[in-house]
Amino acid sequence: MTANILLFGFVFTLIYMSILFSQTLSKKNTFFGVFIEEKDKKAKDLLQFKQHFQIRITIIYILSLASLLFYFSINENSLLLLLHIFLSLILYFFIYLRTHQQIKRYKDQHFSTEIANKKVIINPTFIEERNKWKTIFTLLSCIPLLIACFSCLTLIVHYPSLPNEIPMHFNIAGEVDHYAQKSVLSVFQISFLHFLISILFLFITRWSFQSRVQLDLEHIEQSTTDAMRYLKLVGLNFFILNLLISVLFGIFPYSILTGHIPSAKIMMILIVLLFVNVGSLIAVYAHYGQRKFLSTPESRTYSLEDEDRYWLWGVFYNNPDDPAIMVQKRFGVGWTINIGHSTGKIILIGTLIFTFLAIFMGFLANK
Amino acid sequence: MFELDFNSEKPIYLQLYEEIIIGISKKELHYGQSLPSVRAMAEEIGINLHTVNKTYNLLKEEGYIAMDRRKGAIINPFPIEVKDTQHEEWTHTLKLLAAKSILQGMDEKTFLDSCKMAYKQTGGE
Repeated sequence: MTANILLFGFVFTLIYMSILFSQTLSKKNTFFGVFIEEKDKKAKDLLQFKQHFQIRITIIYILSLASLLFYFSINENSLLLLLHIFLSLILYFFIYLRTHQQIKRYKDQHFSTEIANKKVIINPTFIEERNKWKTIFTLLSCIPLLIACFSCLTLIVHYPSLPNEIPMHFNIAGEVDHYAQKSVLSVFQISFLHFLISILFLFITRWSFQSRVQLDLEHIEQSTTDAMRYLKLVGLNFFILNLLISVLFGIFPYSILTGHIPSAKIMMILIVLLFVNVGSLIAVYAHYGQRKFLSTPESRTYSLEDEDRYWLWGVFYNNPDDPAIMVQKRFGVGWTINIGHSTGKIILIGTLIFTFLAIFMGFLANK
Repeated sequence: MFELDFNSEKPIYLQLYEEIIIGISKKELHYGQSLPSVRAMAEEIGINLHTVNKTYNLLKEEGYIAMDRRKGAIINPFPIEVKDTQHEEWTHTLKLLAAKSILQGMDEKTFLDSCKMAYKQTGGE
């Protein structure tokens, strides 16, 4: 029981820390989802908004962690954990939203809302090199997809000879703690997820290479080199993440066919690699992710994402006139979908539908 | 390297058209090199595909690029073949420039010196 509490407390803390440091890791000229020039960010009032945000987030974290530990010690219910995570995330979001609105109001009162410099630099050589790497990483993304195909085929071939009760979950000691009736649903639900995630990774990798990067007009060559290195490192980390997840998914058919999971040592290595990989991704974002050059309004290149009017709550990007499917996030690290784009809408709705489908399938399979 | 300005009075398709021509003239782009695809260019700038299409079509009509089905837009070899209408337009642009210069009080020598400098700066030898 102690192991479970530690694990859940750890996850809880990770979520808290990622939100606490989101603004620090966010791209330059953004402050809690609002476009603010780097030089203006230093205003005392703005720093106070940030401090209040951090304090309120921390209070929520401590309270909900205490509540979780209290209830969990009475009744180890995973639904309780989900509820705590879900509720604390909602509260975190509302604190962020309040901060965002305060800063937006402050900006309207104190700074000009019209962007002075709207110069764009197009470098055909850079675009060509980016396309080359986009193709390379697209091909690499096919490897996890092939693992998914192979896993699925193995299950199809062996389906008739599978026992009527199949192991669905193993505990930390490697013993089966949950069986399910053999059915197409229970056997192939993991394959469904496996394919879904592999395909999602493939498209996200491609779209991240197609996304705009902003350059520093006073350091064009250096910022271009940095942008290229950033994309390649993200592509590499995404690929390793995709591969690790694919291997972990592959354990399911393995466990069904052999009746046990790989040794604890192998599982440990895989999980450690996963954490190292995620840590590496965060380090890449922190170092390269559009934060390197502190630019003045005159030296920065302009991009459609700089306009506040396309952003909802500083979180959702909605621009039907923008052909880009993914743009860099304002608050936090990584990219966000352009929900004004027709493909963007499909991705958003599709992801929601498939998430509920996956949960629903899990319910049905485990009845 | 093309520089576009969204704050400029000049429409983006025209800015891109001019930047590409100057880029080719300055030998930043060479014969046989592909321009980014219409979609890639549109995504990079953040404008509609039709706008980029307009630019590429204009460049194709005037003979600066050719559209290949596989490779996309490729830079043509030089010198390009100039149609009569194109030469008329060139002469007209030159006359307009001369007229503006005269009205600004420029003498002939200054005008020619400026022309020489512009010619050299955009890749002429």
